[in-house]
Amino acid sequence: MVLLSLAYQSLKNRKLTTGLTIFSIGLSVALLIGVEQVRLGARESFSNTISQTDLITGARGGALQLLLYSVFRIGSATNNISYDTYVHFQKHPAVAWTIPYSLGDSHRGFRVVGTTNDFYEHYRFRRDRRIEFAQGRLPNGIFDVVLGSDVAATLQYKPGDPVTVTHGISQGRGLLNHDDKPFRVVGVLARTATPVDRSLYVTLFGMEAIHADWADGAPPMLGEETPAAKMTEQNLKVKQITSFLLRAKSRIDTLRLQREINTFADEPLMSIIPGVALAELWRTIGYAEDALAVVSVFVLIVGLLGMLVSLYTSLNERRREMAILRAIGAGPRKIVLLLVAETVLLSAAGAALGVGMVYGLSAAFQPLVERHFGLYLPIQPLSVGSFVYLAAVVVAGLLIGFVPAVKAYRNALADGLSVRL
Amino acid sequence: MKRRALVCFATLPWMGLSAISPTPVDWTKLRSPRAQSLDGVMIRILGFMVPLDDDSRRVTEFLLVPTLGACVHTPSPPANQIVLVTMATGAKAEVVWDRPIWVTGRFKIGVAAGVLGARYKLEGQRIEIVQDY
Repeated sequence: MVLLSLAYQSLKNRKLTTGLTIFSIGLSVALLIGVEQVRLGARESFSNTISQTDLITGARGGALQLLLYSVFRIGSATNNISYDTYVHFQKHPAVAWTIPYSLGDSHRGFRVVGTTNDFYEHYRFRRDRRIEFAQGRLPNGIFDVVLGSDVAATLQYKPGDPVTVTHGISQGRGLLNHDDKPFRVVGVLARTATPVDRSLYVTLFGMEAIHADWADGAPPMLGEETPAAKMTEQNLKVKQITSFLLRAKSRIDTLRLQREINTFADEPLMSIIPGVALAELWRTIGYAEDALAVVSVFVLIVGLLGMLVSLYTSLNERRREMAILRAIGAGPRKIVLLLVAETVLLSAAGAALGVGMVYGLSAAFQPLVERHFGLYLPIQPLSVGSFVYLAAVVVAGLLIGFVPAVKAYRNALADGLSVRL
Repeated sequence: MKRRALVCFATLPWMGLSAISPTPVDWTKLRSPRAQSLDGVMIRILGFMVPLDDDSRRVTEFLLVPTLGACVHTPSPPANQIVLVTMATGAKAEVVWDRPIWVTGRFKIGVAAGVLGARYKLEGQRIEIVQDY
């Protein structure tokens, strides 16, 4: 105990170097554990976004791209698929339910999703949680819009407010707005902590209505547009959607349905199994994760070496301290223990600081990351792997402590007592 | 071919002792009419996992197929070459998709529903990952 307090006092006496050493170890520990936490958090968050869906179908393209734009609202589709094709598979005898998505428009940077009431009924996340309404009701009119909880919170919208949809996906107000056909908020969804929160939901008819009268990719001339009041579900025809989620009546049919969709003759389609696509995603990202982990291990080694250098060089200044300790009866073993105790204290403090930084930073940046990358990083307890890292840091500190300790051990008793000028 | 199996999740120590040793089954048997005799029998079968549940680390339900890539390059296997594995309560499986696994469990032939033919189901109790094959 005396030893620990001595070590502590000695470190306290050298506040600046101690502080810097702890900080550098803390930073490297934070990096190491941060990478681990983000990795696990991202996986958790991705896997929890979609549940109980057997197939995701869209226009032919990349499997990952289809997964990202359909489920995570990242990136965009290369093409739409025809509504007739969708109806064909919706009515397929092996299909239990489908959820259509019509994408491509936005409101103040949030994506607008055209869908049907199947979405509110069948969409599942976090294994078996379903979409719930915090306020309001299902959209049933052409110009009804339902907001995800983040959208409502960020834009301070409530039921009854008007919403103008922007053509294309852009941040801010946008340039080309569908302002001749404003929508009205009829409901706000409960928070799900998934990308569902960051979208606005309209009906497929609503999506079709704002693009009615458009020709060759440009909006109708002023005065030529059909007034919103004249639009009814009868005179609007849904022509296309972007993708759809599908659940088979029996999951054993998944592979055969996938094959049937992928080889559909009328239109090039692509169908993916979310579980398989995610597994592929993890495998792809795995290399980058490994590289990051290797880099952070090296950063940690640099941090620990920094500690070694600072302690080793400080030994010169501390000759007198050591000599006094020896003179008042501390044996060479005590000196070794003292120095090792110092490095253990330093590395433990660094590890603690690192963990603190990880939690501090993740709390600070969580909303930002969610807003920009659509990734909800849960603040979760440390993984087993992280504890192994922390233990390794302290053990490394202990081992490193022996280097200056042996040097001090070898210094003669008289070394620090004789005054050299 | 030497096969070394690593016992993974869902291995309860007493299970191997008390349960009747499972009948090893291969995929050709599932194609033949003899498959009917397996209904309700504890079997052990080697195959590849197609994860259906979306949890990246564990699955409770997956398809077992005889060949890897069955889902992309060739027509999907016929209905009698796909087994829907549902892990027994509490027994979860790790996602393994690039190497074969041994699945032990009770085999059931479900009622043929829908359009795509026979229904093979397995209540999975234990999964062993084949490390080198």
